[in-house]
Amino acid sequence: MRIKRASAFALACSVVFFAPLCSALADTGGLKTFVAVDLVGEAFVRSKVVSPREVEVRGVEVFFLAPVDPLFDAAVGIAAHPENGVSLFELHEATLSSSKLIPHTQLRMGKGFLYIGKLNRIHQHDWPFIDSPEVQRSFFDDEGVNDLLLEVTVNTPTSMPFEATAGVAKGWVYGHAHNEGKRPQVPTHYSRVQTFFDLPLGGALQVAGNYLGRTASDSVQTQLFGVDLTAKWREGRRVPLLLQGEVWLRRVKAPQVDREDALGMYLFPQMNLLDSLDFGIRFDQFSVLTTEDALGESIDISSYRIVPTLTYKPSEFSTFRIAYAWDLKRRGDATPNVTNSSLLAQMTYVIGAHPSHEF
Amino acid sequence: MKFQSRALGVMFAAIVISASGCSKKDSDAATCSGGYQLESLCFKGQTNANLVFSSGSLSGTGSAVAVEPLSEKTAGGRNIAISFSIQDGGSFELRTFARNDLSGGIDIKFSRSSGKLNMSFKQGETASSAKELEGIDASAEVKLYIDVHNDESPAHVIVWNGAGSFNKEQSLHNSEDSGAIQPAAQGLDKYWGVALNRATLSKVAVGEPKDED
Repeated sequence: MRIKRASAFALACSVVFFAPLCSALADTGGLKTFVAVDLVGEAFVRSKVVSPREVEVRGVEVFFLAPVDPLFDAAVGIAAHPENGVSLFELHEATLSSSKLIPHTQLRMGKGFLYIGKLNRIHQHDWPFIDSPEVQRSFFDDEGVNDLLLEVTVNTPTSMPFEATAGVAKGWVYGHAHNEGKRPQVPTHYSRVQTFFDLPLGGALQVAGNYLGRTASDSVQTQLFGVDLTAKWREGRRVPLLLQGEVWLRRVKAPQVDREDALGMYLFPQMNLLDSLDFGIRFDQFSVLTTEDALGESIDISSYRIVPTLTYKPSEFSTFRIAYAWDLKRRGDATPNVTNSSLLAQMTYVIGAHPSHEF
Repeated sequence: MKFQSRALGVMFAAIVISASGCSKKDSDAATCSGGYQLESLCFKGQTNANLVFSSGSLSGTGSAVAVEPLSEKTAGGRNIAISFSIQDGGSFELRTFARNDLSGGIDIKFSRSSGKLNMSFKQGETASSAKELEGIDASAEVKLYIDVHNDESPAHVIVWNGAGSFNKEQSLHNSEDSGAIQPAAQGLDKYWGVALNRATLSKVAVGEPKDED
């Protein structure tokens, strides 16, 4: 994972080059630009992994947002992530969107992250914790599923707000790949329906149901069913309590192979300790519900991860985190065993005009 | 502070509820009666296998499936640390992410030609060309670390020399950078095993992938 000198130099040049460009362009003619840098480090305290992960620049994102004309807005984002020790920029987002063509309706087309779930819709440097829950890694490729897409979101103008999204993506690849993939039998298609509820003590809850399906070129059918929720209690700019979680069920059916069901979830409650200091604990679970051994005997293997996280966020533009992670594995009814434990650290900063976050 | 106390209570309750989890009962850990116990792993010989188990090593000609799946899920990744030896003209195959009859998976084949060790991939009727693994003496016992990432399409396979100190950046073969010498697709299931042709399997262990990229 170590970034080679050449790529580190390229990254530094990119940031140095883009920073003055950003400040020059920011808010000029409606154009908003920002560069977000995400550095993470992990030191294994107890591990079966031979090569411990070192400090790395996990991501550098350069983003441009602007209205194209009175009808359309555009977003272009390029991001560098380490791959085999080298960081190279790749296109993350190139979308055109409009909320003015049809009343209460937002259209989005181009390349981008699919508008499903919670983490899949947020850039990794904006997540409230450092690492990716296993359910996200297994079902959505670490940061999220990114593809060429056509997406429609409708907001109902009712007293109880509903937002319904439906989209279709090219689907030649799904998740991590190093090639263009193959034409799927059924392209990636997805939907999301979300609503809001008021909670006691001034809180609000956003809850959504999600679906994703595709059939790959080799006839492997994948279906994902999920619920994501975000609850926030606000006092001015402070968020005394945040509760974020997702639960996903994945069904995979390959020819001549029994259907494989896997269930994954994470839950992250976080409370504000002081003005800029938050403390949260993430609990992850991942279970394959239909695993059998080679002789057809049912086996049950579940993995867990517990990650207490301390966050210092002096402003919207810089964040420092430290966390400790315990990985546990349970086989059958046995008590879970700790398989790994590690210390994690993160520093993120944003140069330029970062757009406001959704709820 | 009152709100913080309530928040802490809610947080604790959420963790307790989460920790209760959901799972289903399973059978006891599989025993290895009638099979071959190599270190902590149990292998069952397949039909027509002519294998001999002696002193903790499996020798001969034939295939055997590991009872425990390679990964809990088909779209997973694993590292296999393996030690084997091959008679001249023989071969050793590692079959990964296959069905429980060892079909439909990613077959990694090692064949010996005097002191040289060649490697190739096979999936069904599709076979890649072979590549010599440089610096490996095939006339002696071969120790390899093999990463198979079946969550990529096609599956991504990296092979390292298991003798000496491990260096992640110095692989013997990385299918991502080797043109045609790579798997044709992903494996269809999560089972695995070995196929010996005048070869001996002496050590094998399964762990987390050594390369997480």
